Amino acid sequence: MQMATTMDDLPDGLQVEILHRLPLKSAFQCKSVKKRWYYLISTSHFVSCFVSHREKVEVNRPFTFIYRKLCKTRLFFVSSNEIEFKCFKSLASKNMIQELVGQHNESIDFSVQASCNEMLLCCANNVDVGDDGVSHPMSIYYVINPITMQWLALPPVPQWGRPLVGFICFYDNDSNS
Amino acid sequence: MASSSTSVVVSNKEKENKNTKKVTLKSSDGESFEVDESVAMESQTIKHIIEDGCANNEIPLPNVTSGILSRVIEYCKKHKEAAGESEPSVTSYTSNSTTNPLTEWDTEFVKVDQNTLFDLILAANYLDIKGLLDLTCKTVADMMKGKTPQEIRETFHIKNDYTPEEEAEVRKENQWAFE
Repeated sequence: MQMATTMDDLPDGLQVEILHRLPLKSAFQCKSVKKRWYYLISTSHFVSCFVSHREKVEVNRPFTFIYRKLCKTRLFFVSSNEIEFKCFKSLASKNMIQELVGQHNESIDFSVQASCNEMLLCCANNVDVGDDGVSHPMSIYYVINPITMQWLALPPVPQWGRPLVGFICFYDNDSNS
Repeated sequence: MASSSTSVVVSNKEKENKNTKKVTLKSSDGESFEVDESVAMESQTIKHIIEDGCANNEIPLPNVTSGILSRVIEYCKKHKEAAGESEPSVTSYTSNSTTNPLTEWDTEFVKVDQNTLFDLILAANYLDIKGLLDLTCKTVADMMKGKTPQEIRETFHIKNDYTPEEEAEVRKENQWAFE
């Protein structure tokens, strides 16, 4: 009669419906099953489905970065799921973050300032944004999500004094952004 | 006249109850199913059709075959009944499985072949029945857990469109997921 319905017959939206219900490791392994899945699992839409699904099923958010600064920057990853905790240790290194935002300049002091859920607030100091021959050292703050590899640069601030920086955010699970 | 797998929802006792409104659903292969309106309204799609006043005689469902439609109706009936018997909060599809009496029934309900399972996903999506979509998608995800990518391809007959080099690169990129 008709051809049997397979996974490939489902539209993208339904494939995401299935994939986002997988545990984190399985979901990332699925990136190597076929190219379409690689793309689907890498979208921010997938991540927001994944996180909001977890919120309904588990009490704790699946991953939280706690930042602690001693002599040097250290990043700790905490998750209610032990496996995910180990996974994220390898995900975000300082160099990787720097690469992401295109700050290759060695003289720029790049550091992680704060964290909230799975996002990081990073600061690049000594960025010279002047084009009139005079050096204007500025600090540029970036909000980075190392999981989806998305980042946003905030408007540069003049580099005098040490402003207090912090991070407050809440999830708008219903929006697509 | 009806095939052995369909369950036609009509009884004389129900007809005597003037408050039980009925609606007829017609599958893509021309079979008609008469159901309580309240059961049919488990589907948001059908609910909107009825509320917009477009359900004159029958509601045609060209994307759903009779085999799948009868199963969907079975699901809606069961869940509507459960909703009527207990507190509204029990029908939440995310509730703890040890307290939800429908869990066992749901587990049996999805013990079907892959073809049927994917058809149910498509139907649940088209008819906008959240609980059924959640149940069926979760079932497929559970089938995938713990399998390697190659095993997943074999289970679901997925074609691998990576070259061996590309696949090795993707795997390397996500090495932490394979440990």
